[in-house]
Amino acid sequence: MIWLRRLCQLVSLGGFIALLIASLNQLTLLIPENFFLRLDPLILLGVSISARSLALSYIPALLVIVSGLFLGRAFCGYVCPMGTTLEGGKFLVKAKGDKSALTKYSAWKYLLLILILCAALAGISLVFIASPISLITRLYTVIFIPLATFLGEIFLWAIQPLAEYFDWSGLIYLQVNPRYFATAAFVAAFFGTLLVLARISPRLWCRCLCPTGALLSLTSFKPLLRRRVSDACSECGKCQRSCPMQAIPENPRHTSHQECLLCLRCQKVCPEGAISYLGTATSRRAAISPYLPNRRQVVLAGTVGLATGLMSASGLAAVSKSTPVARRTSDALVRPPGALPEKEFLARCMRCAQCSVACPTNILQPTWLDLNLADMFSPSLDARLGPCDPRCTRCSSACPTGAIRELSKDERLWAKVGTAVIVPNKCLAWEHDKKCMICDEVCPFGAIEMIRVKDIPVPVPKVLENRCSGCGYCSHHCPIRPTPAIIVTAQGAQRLMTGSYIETGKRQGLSISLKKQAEPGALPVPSAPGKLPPTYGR
Amino acid sequence: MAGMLALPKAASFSGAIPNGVASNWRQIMDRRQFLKYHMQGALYVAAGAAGFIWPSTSLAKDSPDVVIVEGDPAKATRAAVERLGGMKKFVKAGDRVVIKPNMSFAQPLEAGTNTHPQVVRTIAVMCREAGAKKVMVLDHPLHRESECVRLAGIQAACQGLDGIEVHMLTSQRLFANTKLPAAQEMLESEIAREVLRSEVLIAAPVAKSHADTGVSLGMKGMMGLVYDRHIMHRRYNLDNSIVDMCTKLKANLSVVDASRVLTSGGPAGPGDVLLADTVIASSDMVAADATTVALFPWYGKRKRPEEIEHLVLAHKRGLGRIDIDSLKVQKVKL
Repeated sequence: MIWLRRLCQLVSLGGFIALLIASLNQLTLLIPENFFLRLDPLILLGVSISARSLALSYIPALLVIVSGLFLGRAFCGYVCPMGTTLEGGKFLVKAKGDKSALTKYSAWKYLLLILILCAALAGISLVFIASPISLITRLYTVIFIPLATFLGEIFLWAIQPLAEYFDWSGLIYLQVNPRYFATAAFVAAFFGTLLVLARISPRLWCRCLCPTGALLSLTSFKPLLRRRVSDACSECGKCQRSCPMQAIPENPRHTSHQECLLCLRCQKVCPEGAISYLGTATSRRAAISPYLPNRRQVVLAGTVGLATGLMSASGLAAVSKSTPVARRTSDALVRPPGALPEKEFLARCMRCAQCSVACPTNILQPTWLDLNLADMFSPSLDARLGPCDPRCTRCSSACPTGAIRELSKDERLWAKVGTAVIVPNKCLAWEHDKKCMICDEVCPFGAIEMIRVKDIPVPVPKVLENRCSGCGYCSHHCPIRPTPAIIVTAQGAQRLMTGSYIETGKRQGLSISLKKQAEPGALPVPSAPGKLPPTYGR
Repeated sequence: MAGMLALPKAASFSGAIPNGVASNWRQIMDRRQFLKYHMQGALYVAAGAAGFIWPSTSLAKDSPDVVIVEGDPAKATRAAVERLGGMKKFVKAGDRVVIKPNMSFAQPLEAGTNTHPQVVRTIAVMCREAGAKKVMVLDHPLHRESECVRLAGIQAACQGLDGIEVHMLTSQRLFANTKLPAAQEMLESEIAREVLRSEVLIAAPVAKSHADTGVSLGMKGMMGLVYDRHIMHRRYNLDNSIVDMCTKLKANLSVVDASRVLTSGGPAGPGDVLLADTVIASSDMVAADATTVALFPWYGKRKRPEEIEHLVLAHKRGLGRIDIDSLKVQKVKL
């Protein structure tokens, strides 16, 4: 029956990757692109506490918790793409397979859970440090997508001569939109560490560290579907030694269902055929997980969590000078359009990078240590990598926790993310007297005005702040590299919890609209439209 | 293509400006170079006069230099090319053709920033009728590619036409670093590979104003076949580097779509859009641009081609002519 589990795992991981690829290519499938993220009960609980509101999109996660009553931790063993990836990774690192290694750390997952929830009480979301689905989405996004697009581009480049020879223009003009994401080195190192842990002992993450597993184990004390041992058991102990989760205590007739992933290995190795999961064999007493933390540990974890939360909230965890400013004004980073006010945004954002995947222009980047340790991986806009399309609402529809508000197309237009600022001493026109008006040319809002100033022989650009939405088209196309002569800052960003962006913006004197097309023929011309002017061809 | 490009300069100029001499207004030539250029120029002129090379010079006696047709965009395009001597004059059987329209703005037709789809479609179809093996319609988009494709409507207009493809050039692998031997400043540039392997290049710009260069027509439009356009703003004199670029990207045929003319606010708009229902065509891309300049009011004023710097430089460097009063122009109203 192990093949059935493997099949489930493959289907689940395949689905996860397929959804990611669909999201990357702006395709809508029957299943929402953030489906897997909505399965994680840790995100449901953590975000609901830190945001002080119930995330309704998380009903699937509720079902996963309830599934513990019937199926135990089957979610971990059959569905979780993190578990499958790490299990696959063990082949990569040739795991030694010491299944009992580091067993004394098995309680850490509970402690991590308590730490995250206590930080959430302080209003700081630390879900991102250990939510398996958030982590695995980030891994595939930040590492594998850029790798795949890079290799794809190399492949197309390599076969270009052949494609040109045979004139396969479909292949020649095939587009691979290259993607890059910040923080890749750290994410790679993090997962490298997890793989090393998997080499020491398979499933070490699931066994010792995963707080979602810990949460699920709370409901899977004695599930309907569980390991049952019949009287045929000769207590040979083979099952004990084969259990990757160390869920079989000294007496092999007992099972700690809170640890069991229903991986079925014990059933396979049992020489007596005494173990069944569906059968009616005598069900022995369930053993309480031997790895529950003691009271002292719980208090410690809770205190650390609260302290982390308070440190982040107070700005003591700052790694950048701009953090204290950011705490007050939400002005430090350019956040995606529709992002809630900074505090609410960070309380909800669980750093899955799903918005970065969905973003068609690659402008949406995970933040590194720009602000605060607790702000790591939160998305911000870097216009050097791409512009923010004013008609696009992909990030908000990809966000599973509502950290980015879903907006109508009209409202979206007014969701100003910041304001462009010209750096005159870098600008080709202002500083170098060169004819350049690319910023004006590409601005979708008509927010750049070319003006004449004294002593400069060419027209120079000026930003009309009330028309600018901070989309970054100007910055992205500015010929000055690596730091453009026109940059977008978060100044003037509209961050609304509720209410209309249009009404608020208008009240503040904004006038945001896409460049309008003039009525054709509106120009007073010397001769009637279409007639050749008299000066022509004398 | 390079060979074909080199010849008409001298020949169509009837020896007035031998190859490259007048153009070197910044460079000082030594006597040997001077003699060499003149010898070459004289040879071309002699050969041209004898009818050895550049067969179109003899044809040109019968067909006009520039054609201006008023009417429905598709019909006017066809009529304009026919009056120039037909597409067969430019496209031989089995040729690969690149058409360079404007389709790099995610804006609808009414904005006047992209070429009319029917103009592009008609040119492409005529190329196929003349026996072209493949017609590629290419541009390097400024806005998001899919939005440009959707709103410009050129791909939709060419959908299902055999041997005609519309593509956006975004990946660097579609360009090849190319020396520009006749250039003054920009000595090399990454140029679309498709152009380098094609026999014929056709400019199909929309007539629009441009805040930097006065107008954006056939010559300026060729920046859509270059990978790094920004360097032309940043490092070089924009006008002169446009001419540098066009020494390589010299269109064999230029068809300017003036069905709508964005007379101000160009190249991105919004601006005043004049409904002119006109198509201007010429085998001399500079003459086509110059004629278009004189035909419409720009920024509310009449302009002469002599006021447009990159056209003046192109004329001086022998790329084409802006002395439109001495050209043979045919005006047609459908």
